[in-house]
Amino acid sequence: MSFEIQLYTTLSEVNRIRKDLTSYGTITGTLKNESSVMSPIILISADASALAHVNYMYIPSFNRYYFIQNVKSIRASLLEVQCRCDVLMTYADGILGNSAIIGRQENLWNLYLDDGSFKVYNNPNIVTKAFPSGFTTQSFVLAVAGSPQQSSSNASTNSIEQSSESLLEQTE
Amino acid sequence: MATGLYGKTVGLYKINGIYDINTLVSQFDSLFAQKILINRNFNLCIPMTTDPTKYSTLLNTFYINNGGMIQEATAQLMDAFINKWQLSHYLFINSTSQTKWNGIKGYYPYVYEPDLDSTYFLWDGSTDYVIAFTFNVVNAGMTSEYTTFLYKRYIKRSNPGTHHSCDALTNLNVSNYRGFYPNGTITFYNTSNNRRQYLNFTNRQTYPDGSAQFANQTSPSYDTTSAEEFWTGAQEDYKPVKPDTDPFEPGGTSGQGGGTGTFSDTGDIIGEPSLPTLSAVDTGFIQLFNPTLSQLNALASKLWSDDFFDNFIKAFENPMDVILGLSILPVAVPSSGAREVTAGNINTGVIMNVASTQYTRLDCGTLNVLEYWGCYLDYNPYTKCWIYLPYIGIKPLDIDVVMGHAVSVKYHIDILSGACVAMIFSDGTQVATWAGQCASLIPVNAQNYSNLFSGLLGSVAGIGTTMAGALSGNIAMAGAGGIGAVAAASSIAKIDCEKSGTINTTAGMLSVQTPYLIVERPRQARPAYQNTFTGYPSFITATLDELSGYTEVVSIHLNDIPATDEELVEIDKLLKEGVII
Repeated sequence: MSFEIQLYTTLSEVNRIRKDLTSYGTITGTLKNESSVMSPIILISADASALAHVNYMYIPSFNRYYFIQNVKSIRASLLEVQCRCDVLMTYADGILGNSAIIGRQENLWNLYLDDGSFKVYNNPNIVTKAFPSGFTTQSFVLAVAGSPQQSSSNASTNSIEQSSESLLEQTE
Repeated sequence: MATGLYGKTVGLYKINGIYDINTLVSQFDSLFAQKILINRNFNLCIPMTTDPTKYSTLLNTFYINNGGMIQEATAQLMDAFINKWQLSHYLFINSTSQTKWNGIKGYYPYVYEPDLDSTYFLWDGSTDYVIAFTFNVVNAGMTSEYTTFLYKRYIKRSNPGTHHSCDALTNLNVSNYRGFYPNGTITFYNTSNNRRQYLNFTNRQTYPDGSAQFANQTSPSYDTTSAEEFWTGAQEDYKPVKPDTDPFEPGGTSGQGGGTGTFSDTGDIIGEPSLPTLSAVDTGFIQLFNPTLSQLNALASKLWSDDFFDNFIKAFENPMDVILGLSILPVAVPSSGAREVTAGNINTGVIMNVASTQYTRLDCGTLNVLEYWGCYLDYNPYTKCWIYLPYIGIKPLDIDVVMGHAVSVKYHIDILSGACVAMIFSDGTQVATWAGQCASLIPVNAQNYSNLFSGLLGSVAGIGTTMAGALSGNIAMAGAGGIGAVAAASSIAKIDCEKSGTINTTAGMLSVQTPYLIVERPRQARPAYQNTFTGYPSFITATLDELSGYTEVVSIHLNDIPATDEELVEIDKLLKEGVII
C-alpha cells in the first residue's frame, strides 16, 4: 500500500519540540515488510537526488513526523529510507498541554537553588567593608581607693588650718 | 471423652454414634461464642494438590477433624459450622480418609497416625491473631485404617512457594498464652513468666515432609483450670502481640506526616541589653575619676610631694597603694562633675572629673550587606564572611545570617576593668557576640609594670598558639559544595586560615579602631548563554506551553497524548533529558 510522504528539511535542534520545517514537496512510498510505524523503512521510487536536501518527513497516513536516518539505494530509482519517529514534533500539542515539575529552565528559574553544575574559579574575590564608626576617643581612667566622703584627722586639721588662716586674714 | 480447653467436655466428636448436630453446634457456641467467634476470619492456606508450587488461600477456613464420625454426620456438622460462623471453606477428613472441600477442588492426601489429642491453629487473617484450641479426639478403638486424624498440615501463609507444616501438638498448655503468626512462626507468650515459646513453621523440607515439623517445639501441659482466664483475657485484650525479632521495632514504623507547619517566620528580637545598674563606684570603696592629662600630672606631683608624703606615711607605706589602677580607655567616660581627689583619706587638692557610671556603650553603626548575585552563591558555603572587632580580633561570621540584612555592631564597656563585649545585630536582633579587653593599663608601680609585661607576653603567646593551631589542628576544610571549581582536577579542599589572634588591651589600641567586614565570594566561571544550553535550576510547576527555551523536566504525568506506550516512554525520557520549547 503506498502512502503520501511530505518531505521537509529542518535545521532545528533534535530536541526542539516544534521544529521549523522547510517543505520539499511530497512523494509516495511504501512501507517495507516487517518494519514498524515507529521506525519505518520506506521504499520510495525515486533517485537519491530527490532526497539529497531532505532530512525530515511527515506521513499523514501514520500521523507522525520522522527523522530520516539513512537513505539507501536498492537499485536504480528505488530508495530505502530508514526513519525514526520524532515523538516530540508528532505529539507537540499534547506534550505542551501537560504540566510538569521543571528541573532546569532557560527563563523560569529560582537562583537560590544550589546549581551543582555551576563553575567558579579558584581565586575568590575579597572585599572589606568598614562600619560607619568605631573607637574614636581615648580617656584616662583613674581608680582610687577610699570613699570621697571620708577624710582623715590630718585632713580635718588641714582644713581647719586653712579656715583659720582665712579667718585671720579677714580679721586682719 | 477428652476434655477441651475449658475443662469441659467438648464433645465434638463421638465415634460411637451420631451426635445431634444442633447440640454440637450449640456446644460450640456456648464454648466459643464470646471468644473465638470474634475471630471469624480464619485463614488457612492449604495445598490443593501434591504439587508443592500450587497453593490456595482459603479464607474463613475452619478445620476440624471429625474424629471418626461418619461422613454424613460430619458433613452436617460442617455445614452447620459454616452457616453459623459464616465460613467460606472448610476442610475435614472423614473416617474413610476422604476429604470434602466446600467449593475447593482437590484433596489432602496425607494422613498420619495421629496422637490422640490434637491442637489446631486458626488465625485471624486481619490481625494475625492466632487462636489455639484443641479438638481432643479419641479414636475409641477404631482400627488404624479408619483413623483418619489429620496429623499434619502444610500451611502456607501469604508467601507463594513457601509452605509450612503444622504438626499436631500434644499437651499444649494454652494457659496465659498469646499467639500470633508472623510469617511462619506461632509464638506463645506466657505472660506469667514472661517466656516465649515458639512453634516454628519455617524451614520446611520438600513437600511432603513426614518429619517433625516444629522447631523449638514445646509441650507444656494443659492447665485447664486457668484456661477460662486465658480466653477471657484474650477477649478483653484482643491485640496481636508483636514479635521482637526486629530490633528497630520499638522505634515505630513510618507513615504519613507533615503539612502541619505554621509557616510562621515571627520570632523574638534580641536587642541590645541594658547596662548593669550596680556600680563599684556606688559601694564607696573606690572612686573613679576621668582626669585630664594635666590633672594626672598634678596628682602625681602631689602624691610624691614631701608634704603629702609626710602625712601619708603616717598611715600608709606607699602612696601608690591608694591608686588602684590607671588605664587608658578608647571611649569617652561619662562624667558627673568634678571633685577633689582624696587618697588614703588625705585630700590631695587635685580636682578631677568623676566618672558617673562604671559602664558605657559604643554604637559602631550599621552596614547593609547586599547580595552580589542574588543567588545561592551569595550564601554559605560559597560566600564567606569575617568581622574584625576592635579589641577582640577577626572572627568568622555566618554569612547566611547577615546577607541581605542590616548589620550593626555595638559595644558594652566596663570602664573599671576594661572588659568589653561586642554584639553583632542583624536587623536589630543579636546574632553573635564576643568579649574582649579594651583598657590599656598604665603601670604606677613596679608591680603594675611587671603585670603589664606578663600580660602582654601572654597575649603574644596566645597569638602564636592560635596561629599554630589554625595551621595544624583547626583547619576548617571549606569544601566546594555543589560548585565544581574549574580546577576540579585538584581534589584538595580549600584550607580556612585564621586571620588574627586575640587583639586586646594595648595591642588593640595599636590596631584598627573601626569594625569592618571581610567578605570572600567566588568568581563565576560562566560561559556565555549558559542558560540557553543548560538552563538554571527551577523546581517550579508549570505548563509546558507557558515556557520557552531549554527545559528539563523533573516529573511529568503525560496525559491526553494519543501515543503508544513506547512513544510515551520516549517522550518522558526526552523531556527529562532536556528539550527546547
